[in-house]
Amino acid sequence: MQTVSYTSQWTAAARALESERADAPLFEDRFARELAAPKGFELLEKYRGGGLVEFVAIRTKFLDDTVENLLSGSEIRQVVLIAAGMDMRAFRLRWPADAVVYEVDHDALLAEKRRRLSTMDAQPFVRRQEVPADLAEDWVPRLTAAGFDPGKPTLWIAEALLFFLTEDQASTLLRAMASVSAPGSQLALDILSEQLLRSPATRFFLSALAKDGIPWLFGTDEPEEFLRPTGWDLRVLTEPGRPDAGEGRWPYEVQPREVPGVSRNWLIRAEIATG
Amino acid sequence: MTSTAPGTIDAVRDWIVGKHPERSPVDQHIDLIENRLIDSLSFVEFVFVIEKASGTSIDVDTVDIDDFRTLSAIEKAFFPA
Repeated sequence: MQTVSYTSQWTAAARALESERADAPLFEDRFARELAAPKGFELLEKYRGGGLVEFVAIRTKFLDDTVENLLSGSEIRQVVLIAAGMDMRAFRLRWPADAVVYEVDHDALLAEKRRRLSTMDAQPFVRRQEVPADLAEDWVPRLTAAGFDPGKPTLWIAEALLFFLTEDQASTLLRAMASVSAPGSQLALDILSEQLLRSPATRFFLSALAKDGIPWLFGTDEPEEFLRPTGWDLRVLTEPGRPDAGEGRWPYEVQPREVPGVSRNWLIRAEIATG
Repeated sequence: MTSTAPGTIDAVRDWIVGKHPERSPVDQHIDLIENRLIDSLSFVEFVFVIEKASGTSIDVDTVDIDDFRTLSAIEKAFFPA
């Protein structure tokens, strides 16, 4: 598996820890521990601190809530998980009977996930389509070949993805999604603040990631401005520790937006721009 | 809240211990960043604590990270004797 795929095991390890919490876990992903092997817990330990475990849990819950709210409260029935990794939403959330989930990721990762899921006898609660694709290439035809309908509104989930891309790559990806998004389509994702990448206190962490071949590259302090030219209008902008994003579970003080110099993790929902 | 007098490095030490009680006592020379007692998300809050305790104003965009590596360095940089 490619190096970035190990980060999907790392995320799975963090989800396993949250799921196994005795005290009010934010979600329960009973497959996560198995999906975290072989590297997930090792990476989690190596990069512990910095609120990473808490952030993964809060982000997972924020995106879970976004999926459930939009699928119960809108016409959207088509969900695309971009770089799905070890995401198990298809196997653990409630879905309308006519919904479909597309999981886009590298062929090798999808094959490995399939193999593990078969050993756990995991059954999805929704129609689920694997879409093997390389996001660095033109991946949209792969998605439409799998049955995706650009004429219908879509919910796109891009979780833990943008920081591995350059700003250009991130912007190209969001434009590609926008190009096949019918009116009413939504995008939910996390974006780092640029400040986090610049902070002197992040330096060791970032250089260790780079050494491991998984550098964090992109962040922005102005998510609205980053999104707008890609065809997406910001609808929800929040941060861990706020009432809609893990309040009470974030080990740091939440600083108001106007405080400069703060390292932030943005949690975002955007809607396809009209006109 | 801290019970120590303002104007001393003790307030900074107490804040760290408050966040990481299992790491007490925090040595004057231990590298706070390498030992993950301070990380990027707590950094601004940490700077506020130092500003409040020392009465100095710190611009986080222009700081020299070496001034924050140890309690001893912080004391030297922000708590002039």
